Amino acid sequence: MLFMKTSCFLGFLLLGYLFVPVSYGQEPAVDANFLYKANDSTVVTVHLLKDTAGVPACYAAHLITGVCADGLCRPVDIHIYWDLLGQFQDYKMSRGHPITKFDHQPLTTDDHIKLRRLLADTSSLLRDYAVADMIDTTLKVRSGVLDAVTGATNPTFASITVEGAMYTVYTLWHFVNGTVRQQIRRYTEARLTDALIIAMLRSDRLDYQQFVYERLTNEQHRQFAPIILTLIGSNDPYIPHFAIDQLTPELLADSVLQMRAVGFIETAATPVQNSLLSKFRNLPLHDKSMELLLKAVPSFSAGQLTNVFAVLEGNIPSIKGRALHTLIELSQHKGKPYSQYMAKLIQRIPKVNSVN
Amino acid sequence: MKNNRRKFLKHVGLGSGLLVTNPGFAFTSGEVDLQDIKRNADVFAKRLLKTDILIAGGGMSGVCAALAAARNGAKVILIQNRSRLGGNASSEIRMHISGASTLQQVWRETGILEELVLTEAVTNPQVCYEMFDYVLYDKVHSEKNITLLLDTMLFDVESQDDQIQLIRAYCSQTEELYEISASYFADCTGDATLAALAGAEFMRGREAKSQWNESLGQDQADEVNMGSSLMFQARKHDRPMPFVAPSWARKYTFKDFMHRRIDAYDYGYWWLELGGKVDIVKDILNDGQRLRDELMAVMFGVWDYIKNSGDHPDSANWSLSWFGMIPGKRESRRIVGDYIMIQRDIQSPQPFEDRVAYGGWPLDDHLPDGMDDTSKKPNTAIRLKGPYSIPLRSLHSKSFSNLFMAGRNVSVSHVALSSTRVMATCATMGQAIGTAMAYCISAGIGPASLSGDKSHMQRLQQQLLRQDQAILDVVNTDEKDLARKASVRASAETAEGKAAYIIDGYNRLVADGKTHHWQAEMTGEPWIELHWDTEQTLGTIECTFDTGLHRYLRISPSQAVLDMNQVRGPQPETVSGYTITVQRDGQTVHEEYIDGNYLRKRVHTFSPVTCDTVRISVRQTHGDQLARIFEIRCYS
Repeated sequence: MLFMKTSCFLGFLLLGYLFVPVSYGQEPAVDANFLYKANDSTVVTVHLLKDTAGVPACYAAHLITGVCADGLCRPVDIHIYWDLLGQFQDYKMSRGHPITKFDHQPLTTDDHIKLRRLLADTSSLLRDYAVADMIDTTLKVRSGVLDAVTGATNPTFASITVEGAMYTVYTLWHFVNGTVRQQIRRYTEARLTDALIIAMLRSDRLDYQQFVYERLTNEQHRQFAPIILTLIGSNDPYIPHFAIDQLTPELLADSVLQMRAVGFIETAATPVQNSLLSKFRNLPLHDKSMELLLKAVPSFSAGQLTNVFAVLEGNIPSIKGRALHTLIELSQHKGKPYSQYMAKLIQRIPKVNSVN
Repeated sequence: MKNNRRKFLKHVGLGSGLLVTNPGFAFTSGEVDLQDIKRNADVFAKRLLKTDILIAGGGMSGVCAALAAARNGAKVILIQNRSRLGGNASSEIRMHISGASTLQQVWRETGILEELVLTEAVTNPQVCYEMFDYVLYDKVHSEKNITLLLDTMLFDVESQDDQIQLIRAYCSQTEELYEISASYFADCTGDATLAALAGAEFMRGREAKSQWNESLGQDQADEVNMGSSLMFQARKHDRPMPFVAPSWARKYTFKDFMHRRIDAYDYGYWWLELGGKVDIVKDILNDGQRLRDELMAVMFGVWDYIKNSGDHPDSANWSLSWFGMIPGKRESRRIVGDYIMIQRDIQSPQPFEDRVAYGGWPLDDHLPDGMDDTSKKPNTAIRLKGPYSIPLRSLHSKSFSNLFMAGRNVSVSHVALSSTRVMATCATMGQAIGTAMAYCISAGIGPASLSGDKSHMQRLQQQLLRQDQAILDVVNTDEKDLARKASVRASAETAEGKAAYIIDGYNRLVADGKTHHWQAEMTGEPWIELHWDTEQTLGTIECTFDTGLHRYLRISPSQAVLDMNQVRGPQPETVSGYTITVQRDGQTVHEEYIDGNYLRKRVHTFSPVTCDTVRISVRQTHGDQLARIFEIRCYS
């Protein structure tokens, strides 16, 4: 997360104060822009910004447009930033051009916090209602600076707008969440280099990782498996599970990769432990992996042991060496819910495995 | 497929050729006479029946349509292909009766549905689903103008020009064949089976955005439906309850539930759903057997995940106590009416002159993949700013002049259906068409003449309103209501609940900042009185009480839903004990004592008396410190 945020933040500095929407990386991306036609009267250039290593980091555009239908707020002049998949990230006002609301009042700090949150909500009601339907025409608000009245926001929509800035919020939402999202995704997909794949996998963002997973070839799967494996240790509740899902039997046949995967099992969160156990069921375990799994047995709850036993059942003939010693130790743990099973399991292991 | 089906039915001996043509019966009132049986040498008994109104489908819309039509004097035959009434709400499927309560305003539906849910809440504090079935059965069975044919499957329709003549149905339980002719037919099957068999125009699938300028439509039209769901219930025991999944159960892992919450085990889950494609794969109608089997695999797969994955260790003592075998459908066919409701009608409510019901559920479109693709959210729900009206033109067929419809098979776009499909909304449509059909018979006009005529519509709306159907922006203007011409006074009133509100034309809250009902502190016996300067002849007094329409009220297998701002039993605001005193020159000419009331609408009919005053004295409420009455009506 820090990786991406830092990159875009540096980009904001460039765009916000120099008004030079170009890459600030070591290798300027001369081709890194495309046109976004938001509507008949709004066409902007979207720039791909790269980090210092020249890896795509985010997108930005400079928007100057009128945003209200009643003339009671000023046009906006802002720089807008999206992530690599077209999700709104942030905006920055051009110097001397604050975003205003009703009666030309600048948005407050709280208004800006709310506006950023609203623009980031892709499933907002702003997507699904015409702006006219969000205005309660039975309530009028009189302007203090112009001889005019405007409609009040219908109470239903109060939570999805900044008070006094419905048209502004609506216009900006549709700008940042328009077809530019698909354009950005396509643009990123066309630039999915090894460096970008690694950056996205390491981003700690599930959507970035899923974007990559869906596009990896079999060869790339093998190539990036070591990085994917590290994601099992993520603290995010879902990232480990989607990483585990990427571990095919072919990848787990590799003793090193398998051992690294099993290595997470003792300290992982319970649902991750369960997903790993489910993955290992019917999988031939290498000696070291078996040893790691057995060492982790005391960390499992009674409910999880059924799934541990299922993994062991499929590997009885191959339990030997240090794993077998660990198994014997477990069978001698007094009063534990697994010791009796382990003792019985030992009886089913071929005697030849006991040699050495 | 229709031809194949009919061929099949003829093959097994159910075709129309087996039926003896015989004039029907002369009916005056009450149930249809079932005595005249034509014994068939081939085992089946044949019955030729004639009625005013044939209603196909005994779900919430069909039940309400039947009750409304019957109570308005029409003779009704209600056929239901299951042995229980209620459809998706019945104990066989156990879906919530959802509706405008979800607006969290004041818009719980009234009318017959309110009578049913109030009765159920009082009758069934034990929250037994079969008792919900019983309440529906009791209401229908007790209505003398309704003939209820359970386990009776419609399989054939005959029509001539733009009139449906008769339908044929079959009851496997009793080995009876029915040929039923009627003046009006109501398709409340949900699947529009009657309309489709008749050859009426209908829609399926999802329309393109461009068709009706619906932003929520598809880029291109397709033939995909919202999914159907199977539900289950589970119970907690005092010891571990193991579960071994069948081999055909699907396998799920933690990540499959990223967009699907398992937050309780007692009832689950609306997202146990699979969609369908029209006439291709897993068609909800013609390949429903396979769809059911796959839903079973989904449901048992999810329960296997809960019990055996290790991710839900607190499920150890839980076990399945019930599961559905009938998928609860969200969508199949939609009959084309004289008006097709679209997205805009839901989001930007239209004041249709022929409005007869309302809805308030979000635009809640379920993605067709359902549990086939758990990486996607199961639905997109766009909440509404308020209720919207439903026009009568969307509730009668464009193709046949004696065919009405209510339920999910009405004349709406796919997008609009995502809101109108919920059962409380369907139930109010049912009351609307039941009343409309009776009106048509009584007035001797057809549906188009009714919905297209302002004066007829005003009369129908007033009739519906009097029978407690809520219609947006329609108030009591009934010239026959003598209460409107009376002066009002009360023993007491609150600042918010003036006595005059009792005849202000509103019988409920309408979110306009006013209470629209009389309120008085429950000290002694507060009373409210209507007085006329000239003597009146009264034979009917009607009262509308407060039943807390701002709350949810619906049976649910989910304890969380039962605990969600609802009262299982009489509603505390409701007047339970009251006395009606009718006087003439200070002398009582009629008096009624009512105890144990829990209903919203009460009608008191008596031998007409001459009088100048009606007093309602409130003796008791179900707990509220205020006496509350929305409306009093008086008729001769």
